[in-house]
Amino acid sequence: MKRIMADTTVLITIAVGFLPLWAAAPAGLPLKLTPATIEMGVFYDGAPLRIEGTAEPGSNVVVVVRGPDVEEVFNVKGRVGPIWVNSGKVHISGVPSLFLCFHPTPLAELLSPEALAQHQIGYEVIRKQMLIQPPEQDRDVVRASFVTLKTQENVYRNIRNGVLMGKPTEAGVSYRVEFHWPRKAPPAAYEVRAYECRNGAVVRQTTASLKVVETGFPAWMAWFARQHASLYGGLAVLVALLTGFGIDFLVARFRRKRTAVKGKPLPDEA
Amino acid sequence: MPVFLPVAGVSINLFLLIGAGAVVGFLSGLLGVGGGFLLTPILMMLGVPPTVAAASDTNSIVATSSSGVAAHFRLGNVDAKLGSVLLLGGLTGAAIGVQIIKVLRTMGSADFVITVTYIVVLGAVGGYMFVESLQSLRRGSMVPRTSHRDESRSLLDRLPFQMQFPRSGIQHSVFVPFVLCFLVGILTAVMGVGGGFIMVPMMVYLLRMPMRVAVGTDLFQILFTCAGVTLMQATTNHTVDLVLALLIAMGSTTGAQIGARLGRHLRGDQLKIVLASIVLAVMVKMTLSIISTPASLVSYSRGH
Repeated sequence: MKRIMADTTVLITIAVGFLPLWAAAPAGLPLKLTPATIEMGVFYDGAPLRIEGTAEPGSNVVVVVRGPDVEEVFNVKGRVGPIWVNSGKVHISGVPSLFLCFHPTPLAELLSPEALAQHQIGYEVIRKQMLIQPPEQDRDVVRASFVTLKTQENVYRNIRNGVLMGKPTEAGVSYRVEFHWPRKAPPAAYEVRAYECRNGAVVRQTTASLKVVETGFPAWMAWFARQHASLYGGLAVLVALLTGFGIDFLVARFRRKRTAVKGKPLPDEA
Repeated sequence: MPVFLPVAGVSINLFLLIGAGAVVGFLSGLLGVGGGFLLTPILMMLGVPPTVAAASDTNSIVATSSSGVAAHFRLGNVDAKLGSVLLLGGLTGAAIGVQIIKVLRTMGSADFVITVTYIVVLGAVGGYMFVESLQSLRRGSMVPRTSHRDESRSLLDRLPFQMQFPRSGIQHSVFVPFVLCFLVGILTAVMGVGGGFIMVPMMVYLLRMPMRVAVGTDLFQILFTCAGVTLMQATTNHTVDLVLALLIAMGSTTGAQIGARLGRHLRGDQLKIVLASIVLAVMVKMTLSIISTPASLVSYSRGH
């Protein structure tokens, strides 16, 4: 029995001893998110976000922040005589709700078209992945128009000079992306990917998750609106009525006081 | 100062929301229009998702119109009796209008019909109102009705179920306001707007109501319509953001009070010319937006 216990102890010791080596084994590109979770409170106004790490000397880094895939319905405009009208509807899916691409120099200088396609970097990939229903719509026009719409809204952005590369040392070259997380981005789990690029190819990559969550009163309110919809609707009408009549009451009272001070007859009663 | 909107899921500057509400509320109190035609696009520009913008806007109109109705009621400008008939006719017409839209959709021509109807109706109503008010202002007073109008008047007088509306100082068969509002209801359902733009001119020119009473009575029926729509949106689509609606309402209710007070100091013709100018401006903007090539050929569907 003692022998078995002694052997087990030796095995555990060896395993624990090798643990640091296993943890330090070659892995993805180092990436640190600060903060890892963004909390949306009552006075939330976006948040400063830092993405950083160290790459091999001589490399460049591309960072992509992607929102979860969404499905949305859009009107498609067509020309009837001289006027543009909505000529139909399309369901678009398989596209991210947010797409921010940070790079130190133009993407075409960093990665080959094949590498861009393989790692889903750039608008061209989004255009290709987009699923359009019904399929008989003019796909190229819809694809291009969708990306134009999203870039106008600033939820799809290509940020050149967005990655700051440090001075190369023996330990590697540091990279850093600092930006203010857009306050209009809805709560969701976002994917942050960093790609180490060399000679037109991705040599290492890593993925981290950025959580954007509602907390406190907003979280409770969103839950209430969904779980007790009828009650919430009734409350919304009641609060609106009280606000309207309340403001009217206050204004009327204020006017009466002011008129009484001036000693003139009340206009409403004249 | 930013504030996070729980249902919309976005953060927007508090003062921008209150300010936008104040401008729209002012117009509402002054002219009796709901303001949805202005506020929904403004909210969308500020980053609120279209469905939440439309639903929350309706909720805020409940506050604005209740404030406006209270102010107008004290001034004796609300004809609740006529308003109830108008409301009934408007809701029936809207229900029929929704069915018309369904049929047009299956034919694939709904949006074309809506756009053209919008421009024609706004242009006709705004143009007529503008010219008529301008002539009236130049003359310095309202002109007596012409003889052919008197003939139509006698025809209307012969209709059954004549009813007195003392607050408006008019007498009509109950069918007249009901049918007129029924037709406006169809138009508003087809056009997808609250209808203040059409309703107020209709009350003034066809029912012969004084402008101020038309404004107060229109707000009265808007209050009920929007309260119903808010309830439906909250229960079926979960798109009413109470925080957003309250912030807009804070501005709009105050603006509505100022608008209603200012309206009291303006002559009916002056009010009409302001409303006509806004109607024509919206019509011109719409015309320009549909003849110029858009940057993107897709836009968010609001499920009209």
